[in-house]
Amino acid sequence: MTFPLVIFLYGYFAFLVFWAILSLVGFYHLVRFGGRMFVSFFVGFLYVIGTIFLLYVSYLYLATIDWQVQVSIFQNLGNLKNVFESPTVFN
Amino acid sequence: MFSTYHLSDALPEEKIITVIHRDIFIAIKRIVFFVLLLALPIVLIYMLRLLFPNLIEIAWAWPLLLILASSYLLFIWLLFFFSLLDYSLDVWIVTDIRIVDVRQDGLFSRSIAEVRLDKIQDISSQANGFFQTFLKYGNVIVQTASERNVLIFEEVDNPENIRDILVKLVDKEHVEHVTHNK
Repeated sequence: MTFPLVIFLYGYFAFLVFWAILSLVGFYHLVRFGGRMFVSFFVGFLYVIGTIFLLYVSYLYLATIDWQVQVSIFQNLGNLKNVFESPTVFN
Repeated sequence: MFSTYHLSDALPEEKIITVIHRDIFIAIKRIVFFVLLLALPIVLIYMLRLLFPNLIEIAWAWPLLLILASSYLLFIWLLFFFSLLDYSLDVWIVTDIRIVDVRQDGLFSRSIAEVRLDKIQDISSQANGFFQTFLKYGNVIVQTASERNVLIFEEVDNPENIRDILVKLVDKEHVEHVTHNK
């Protein structure tokens, strides 16, 4: 059974849409009920900075992958044996 | 640029005496907890690569691992945001007329209650356990004669000080009430 690797990426984008909606709902609460309190401003600022960092690091790693590759799941399952038989730190 | 708090339904000549959040230790506790959760996938990926160096050779394993790690980190970061949102939006506003108790419970639950100072019957403070005693935070319990019998300032900094402020305000309110009725 083969499938394009990019399917994982589509799933990831779907998650990002869901995540972005929840983030916007959070920001709506912060702006509406937090008003101009310093603590609200700080929480919002921290979230934006952390989000930019996480998305940028994710992009850096995910950009190195060739998403057009077709993978065969059953063929690759045989390779799992090699993974578990590979030399480890315990050898 | 910033104000401490704005009461949208402020009464004429009502003065905000103090605005109280939960103690900063509660926020620090949440930050430490989420930092540990955020560090978890980094440690796990490092250990997986150390134990199974050939894992990266499987076409789908490494991309899947990266996507799962990124999704996990973003999800935990979102939960951390909600947790801090909850912390920052839970607030008790003490004015010279009333106490307003604003609670944010999750994203879709928010409650606002108020007790007038002339309805307050008893005020007590409590600090339970090692951390609350050592770091001087705890609860202030306000008994009232209104529909809502008890109002609790939860995990606030220096509860004795808050109790003193409230006692003085309530005493002043009672004196004014008696003078006004004569």
